[in-house]
Amino acid sequence: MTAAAPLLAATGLACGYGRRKVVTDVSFTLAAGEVLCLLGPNGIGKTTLFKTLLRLQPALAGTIRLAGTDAADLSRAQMARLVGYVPQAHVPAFPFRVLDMVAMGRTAHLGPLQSPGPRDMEIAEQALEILSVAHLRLRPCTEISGGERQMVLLARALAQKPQILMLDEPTSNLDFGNQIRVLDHVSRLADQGMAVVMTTHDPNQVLRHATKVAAIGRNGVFAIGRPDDLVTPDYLRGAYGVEACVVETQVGRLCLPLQRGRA
Amino acid sequence: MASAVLSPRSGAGLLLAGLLGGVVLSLMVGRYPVPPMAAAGILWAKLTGAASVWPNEMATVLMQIRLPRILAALEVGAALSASGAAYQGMFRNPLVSPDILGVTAGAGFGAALAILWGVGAVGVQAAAFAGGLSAVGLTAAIGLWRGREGGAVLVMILAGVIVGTVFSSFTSLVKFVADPNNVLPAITFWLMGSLASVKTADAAVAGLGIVVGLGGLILLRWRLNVLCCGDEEAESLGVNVGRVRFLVIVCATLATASAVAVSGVVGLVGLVAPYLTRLLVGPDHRILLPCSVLLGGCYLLLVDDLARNLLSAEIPLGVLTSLLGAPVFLLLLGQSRKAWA
Repeated sequence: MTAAAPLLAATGLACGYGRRKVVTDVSFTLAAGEVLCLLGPNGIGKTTLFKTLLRLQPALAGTIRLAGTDAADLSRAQMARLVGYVPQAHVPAFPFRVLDMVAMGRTAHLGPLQSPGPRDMEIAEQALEILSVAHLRLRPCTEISGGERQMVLLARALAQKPQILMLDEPTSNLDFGNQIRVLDHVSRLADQGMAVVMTTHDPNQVLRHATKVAAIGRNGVFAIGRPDDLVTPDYLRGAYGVEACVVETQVGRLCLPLQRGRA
Repeated sequence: MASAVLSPRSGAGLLLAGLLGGVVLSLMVGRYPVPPMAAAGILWAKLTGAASVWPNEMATVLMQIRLPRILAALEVGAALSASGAAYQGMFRNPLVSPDILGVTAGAGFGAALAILWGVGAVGVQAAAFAGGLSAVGLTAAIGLWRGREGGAVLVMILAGVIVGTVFSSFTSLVKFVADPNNVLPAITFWLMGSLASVKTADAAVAGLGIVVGLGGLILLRWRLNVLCCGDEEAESLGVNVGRVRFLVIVCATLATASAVAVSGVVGLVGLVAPYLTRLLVGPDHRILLPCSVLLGGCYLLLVDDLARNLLSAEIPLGVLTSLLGAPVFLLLLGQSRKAWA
């Protein structure tokens, strides 16, 4: 795939609730294999922008194009075949089996009254295998750990066979080991050609995994660029109100706090 | 909540066997006991047209009184149970049921009005459907309007209580203006919930609405599974949530209202039966819906047998189902306090 047709392109996007614009003038493109992180402090409009990109809330201005088509012209099912959404792991209301939960990712490929068939169940099994969690397939979703649940939701998105993955804070509520495992899987998927958008709180995740970063500062100022250019002590001071430095190490760049936060 | 204890096949088999056993038992028991051989013999004679060797009055009791009543109990139980399961899936909460969402009260008001105007079985059913649909529409609208900031389930249940109360007071108004000599007793007994005076024709009319409603729900079974993930996730998985939710509400309400039109207000069946079914076969609507049809039918049939036989006089069915259902609701409340957050 060439840069000629970006998988995801936002132009002059503004989003918010009702008439209140939270983030304005968002423009960026994303190609296959790229990882875009949405970085910013709490309550700044990360989630709003994220949900607007998923068309879960209306854009107040601007356009979103998915694989060359205006997203507004796509049906829910057409969109679900292009974009897989991985929500934050939560305990589901009913104890569905893991395999059935993953098979829900096949819904967009089924007729309106159809249930998944053997081929769909096979794809669901494969998705679990790709993430090395096939052993969970008969367990109820309510009785697995948070990290396992995040993997199941990721597997469900993979079963959609999308070209773009959108992850909402995929590591919140996960322990250190699970954070690394989930993000390594995401990086591997990107290496295989998936375009990835994810929101995060952690500048170090951006430095480690992102090829592009959209940094939202105070006042809804939106900046897009390379992680090394944008994740700087100045940005961290402005956005989070803390003094931090970015140091070069053997394993890449790291961002470290210098003193206790004043915020 | 624990997951399934039975595989789909053994669950369905067990429930089917229970249902058949329940039907045979219900044919036999009552003020006029019928021995099993006689019950089988009379049914066989009717089916094949062979000469019956059993007393005529026994055949009359069986065919004119017990069989329509059994049929109605199965229909009503199946309708309330499966629509309860569908509402619970759609609202992602095992605590909602047609009663709690106000559907039953709305359908009750519609039917009471139709009885007042004396418009016949089809009219009662249509009015019950209109009343039930307005009630659940109001409840859902209030829930969606006020429940945005979280606590949606709590808001939905409270809205259902208020909507139910409003429709119950409309029903009282209908009773107030009804002729106390004939119409008022008819409405009052009907509201208590009973299958005592069910005719084959009533059961047939209601059966049509129930079959259409439940058929629609069973067609939507996989979409209902996806709705259980929540609206945003369901949309992102490719489901048109608004349209599916509308279809589920129409189908479940048609089934509930048809049931209410034939049996009156039979409370909490739509809570107890899906709860028990989910314990048995798990939450997957592909299995849950058919099994809750079987379990609901069986449950109401057995409760109706109790209503007929427990005391020398008949106990209103609605009284018994509510008394049995209330402890289950409390049990559920204890288990799922999380859902209120």
